[in-house]
Amino acid sequence: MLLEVESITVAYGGLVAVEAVSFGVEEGAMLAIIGPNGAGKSSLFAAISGVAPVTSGRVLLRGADLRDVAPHRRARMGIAHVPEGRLVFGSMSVSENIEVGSQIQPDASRRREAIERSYDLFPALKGLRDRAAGLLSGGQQQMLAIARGLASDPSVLLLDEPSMGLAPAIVDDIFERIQSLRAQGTLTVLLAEQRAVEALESCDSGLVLQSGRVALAGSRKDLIESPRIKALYLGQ
Amino acid sequence: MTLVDFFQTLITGVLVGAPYALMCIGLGLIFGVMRVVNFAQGEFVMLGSYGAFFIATHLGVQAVGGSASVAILAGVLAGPLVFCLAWWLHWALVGRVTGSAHAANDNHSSQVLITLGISLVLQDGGLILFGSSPRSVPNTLATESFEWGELLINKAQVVSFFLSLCVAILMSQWLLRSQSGKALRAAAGNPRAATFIGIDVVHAHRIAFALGAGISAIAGGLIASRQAFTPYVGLEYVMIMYAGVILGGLGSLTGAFIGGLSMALVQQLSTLVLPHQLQTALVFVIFLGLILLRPQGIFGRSVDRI
Amino acid sequence: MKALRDLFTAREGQALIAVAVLISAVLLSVTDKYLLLVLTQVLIWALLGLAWNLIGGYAGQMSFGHAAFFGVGAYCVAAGYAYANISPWIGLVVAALMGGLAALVIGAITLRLRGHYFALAMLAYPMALLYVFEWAGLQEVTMPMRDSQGWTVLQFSDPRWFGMLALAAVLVVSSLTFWIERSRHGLCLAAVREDEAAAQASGVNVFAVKLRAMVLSGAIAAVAGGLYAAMMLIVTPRAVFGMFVSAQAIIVCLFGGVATFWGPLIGASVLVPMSEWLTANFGSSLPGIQGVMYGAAIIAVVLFAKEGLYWRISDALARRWGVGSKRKKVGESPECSTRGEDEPVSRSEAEAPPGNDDRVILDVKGLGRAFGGVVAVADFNITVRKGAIHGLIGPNGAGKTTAFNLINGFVRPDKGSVILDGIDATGNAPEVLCARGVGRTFQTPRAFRRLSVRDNVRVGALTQTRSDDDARDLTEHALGLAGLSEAEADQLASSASVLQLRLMEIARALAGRPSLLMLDETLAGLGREDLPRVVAAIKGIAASGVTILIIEHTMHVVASIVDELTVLDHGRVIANGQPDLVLQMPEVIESYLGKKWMLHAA
Repeated sequence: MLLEVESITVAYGGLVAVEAVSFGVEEGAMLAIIGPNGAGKSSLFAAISGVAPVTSGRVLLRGADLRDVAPHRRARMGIAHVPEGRLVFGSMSVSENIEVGSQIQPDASRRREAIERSYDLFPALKGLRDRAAGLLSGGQQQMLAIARGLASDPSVLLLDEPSMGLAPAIVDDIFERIQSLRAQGTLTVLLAEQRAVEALESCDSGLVLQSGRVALAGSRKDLIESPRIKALYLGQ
Repeated sequence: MTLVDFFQTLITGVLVGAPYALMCIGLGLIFGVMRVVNFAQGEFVMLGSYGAFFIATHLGVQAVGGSASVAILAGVLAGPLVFCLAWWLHWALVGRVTGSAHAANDNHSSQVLITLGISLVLQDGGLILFGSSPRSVPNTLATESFEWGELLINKAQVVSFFLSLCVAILMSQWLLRSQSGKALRAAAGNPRAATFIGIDVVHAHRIAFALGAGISAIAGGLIASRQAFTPYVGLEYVMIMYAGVILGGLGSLTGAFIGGLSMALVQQLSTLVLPHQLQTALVFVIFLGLILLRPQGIFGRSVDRI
Repeated sequence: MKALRDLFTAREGQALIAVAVLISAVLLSVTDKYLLLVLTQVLIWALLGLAWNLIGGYAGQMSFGHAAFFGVGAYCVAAGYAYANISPWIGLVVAALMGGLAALVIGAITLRLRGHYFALAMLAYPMALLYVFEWAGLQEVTMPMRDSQGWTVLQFSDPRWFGMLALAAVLVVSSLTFWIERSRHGLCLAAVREDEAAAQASGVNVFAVKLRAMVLSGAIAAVAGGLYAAMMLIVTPRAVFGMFVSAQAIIVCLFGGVATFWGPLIGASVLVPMSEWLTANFGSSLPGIQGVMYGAAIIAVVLFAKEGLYWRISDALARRWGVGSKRKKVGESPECSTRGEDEPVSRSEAEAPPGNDDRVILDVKGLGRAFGGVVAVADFNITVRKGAIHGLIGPNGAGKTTAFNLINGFVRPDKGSVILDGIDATGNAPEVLCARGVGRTFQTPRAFRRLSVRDNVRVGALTQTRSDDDARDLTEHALGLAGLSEAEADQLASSASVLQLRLMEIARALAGRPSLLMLDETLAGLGREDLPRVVAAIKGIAASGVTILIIEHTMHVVASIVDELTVLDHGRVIANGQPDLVLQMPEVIESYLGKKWMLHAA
């Protein structure tokens, strides 16, 4: 088990965002974490990458408890969090964004390979190397954010709502590429999404969160065919 | 006022303005990366001047090629000294009330206030340590000038001009090209995203703070031979620095340089028409005008980038 | 007069009198001139601190330039006497007026600035004045000593009288501050300090509140300056406009305790004597030691006791004795309306009859807004019928809160119109909309944390009426409608649960007697057990005739309570109608679940 989350609770003051959530992810697997807005997906990711106030439970990476590990250190341990809303470095160019994302990888050859892989995954970025990231379209920024996350050759990629705010055609494109990530089979990916279908199609298994708790879990097949998901999202 | 007077003032203004512009780069770095109004920036300049003075005295005026090179060397060496001091200050004090994780407006006022405290301690501490009599660093070049037609171009000023320019260019190249420079820009651009890619944002802030202090100190060191200074000289510089940085547009180092140069030039030109006290008042008036009418400055970039 | 009586029956008022008596006793018993000077200085700096406290502490606007007002006052008195032979008593009055005027001008242009810019601008004013005064030849103004005229020109043969005068000033201003604190002004100031956006949404004219505080602050600071001039008999620009004056005002206040009238007194009593002692004993070998001390004091305060000694101690004591924290009870006291004078409140319509009325209360057409290149909301139309509960839903990032902000006035629309009850309300400020009958809650509860829940609600009521009794009634009515109990209302907002905060926000909005209540994700962050209470409150409010527009995600709830549903995706309306129908529409399902859901679904 590469990543294990044991009964994690995240609370902002009195507001409980995630409650006693547990799951595990094997190396190389892709897990979809879906659920309606406010379900706690982003807070869960924040707990794994270390920027959320975790009040109980633990996160284990290769068996090691991450409790006292600062967020930037967790990144160095191989957890790459691609945040909701992209958050690219607007005044830096595309290549600079990717380069700065690769910096934590000490091995120069691995760094080079990772950067190449990023560009291969998103060939459109090659032509935009010198463009300031702030001038890119939403879809391009999303691709850049993922490329930046991959550039450090991480073990775990946390992809937080990549489709948010993007037009449908672009969303399709992004998910196609995420699927090709899965085809490579080396990276462990957690994909948080509101759009259940796109997420489940890309992943091996899924977790459905509602109001901070796990409402449903299962393989891709089970979940996609489940009528309960629609009920969870849109009421009875 | 003749045309010659005008051009003379113009040239002097540009030459003298370069160290001021360098000061602004120091401030611009801190303001741009940390988004903190640093009250102690003027004191960093002041410490640079005193640092240069003590180094020059220690090295001895006769050593290594005469007072001119000593003065210059001392001026530049003052930078690393203040860098270390500022590093410690951030670690001990400023960093404790900063934090990329906190975004509250509350925290910003704590940072500003602590720099106010630091400013007072440095200013009056300086008074205790250095005394109140004005000092300056002897520099034989200060009295020599090139002649160009009817215009006199002061040699010491030319040297400090080029040095300031060099340091400014070095700084901006470092920021643009080096790994740590990029990490700094990333931390400034978006602290959260920077954390996610492994950048220690607090550490980045510390570097920015220390560098910004060190650079302003070098500027202080370079002007140490041009004019006499006392421990209280800091506050005047603060206003000019902020005016320059805001004029150039927050978030742009080039802008800060040009803004600083412009402000110095304006002040120099105003000596032609205004009495002494009003020259400084003019700086404040321009400053206020900028803030009220065009806070984004000439280069008008948004506050979010560096 | 009733106000005065109220003040002095309060425990703190009595404490203040006791302290005043103590200080006068000390003053009158001391004969050493130097000590008297120090004591008087303590009082004058306490006075300046009190002045700063009004804008910096209570209103939360940190001014780094109070030396401007201090200097103006000092020069009024000094120059008036030295050049025009005007008695300093009159000089003090003139000083107050000039200080207030300067504050009005400075405040009007500077208070609109945000954060850093405000701080920097305030810094610049006294510096500019310093150099202008030096240039104007006022480098040194000496007030001639005229012993023969004695007290009529504020020169006392016995310096203890001067001290008593300063004490009187401190006493008056402390009482004034105390009174403001407990009045509706105090409540509005607290609201502005805690959360400007929430204050605005509750109808408080934030700018006016800040400006008023600034003017009063400037006037008092000027009086402090005038007293200083009369005491020192000599005024130089650097002494009164210098950075040190501004810094001292801030430090004295911060050290002693912000937003309490005790703060400046505590701060001055500790810091001034300490600095004098240091100067006296070490001044020759360590010149400038007092500056170092003040610097160290403020660093210590920021690191260890952010709000000052007073709060640190009172909080610690409260914890020890298990009492609720000694945060001020912002009580009742006569008026001062916070409503801007420009907007006459015409609420001629009675409460709308529930439910069946076909009239439209909110008609939004073609509303659009882009931020930079990103389009947040485009061509947004919504028609909300009076008395209805209308839901606004959509996936994350669809633009719902932006739509609210556009309607409610926090963000200006690029295009489109908002018609409220037949009158154009496009782009109106939040407090104006509040006066027009629109109440609003926020996605993350915005509470005035250091006020009680009841006081939070009362802020909403205060903007409706001048009468305190009416305000109290409105508050209780609103609390009842929201379903909050007495105990829940009495506690501090910082101790309240999320559920209670949600209800409190609703009550605060209700206290403004809205005809339209805009609720932003009221159910977010609530556990399943908490939902019924909120739902009941919403239903009850609707039944009382208030129209509700609600953004929500908890679908089964939304479906059960709304009459009409509008769906937003990517900033555009994609569906509108009866909830059951809308939730079955393919476009809606796809926007939430993904495009190919229909293919997989059974």
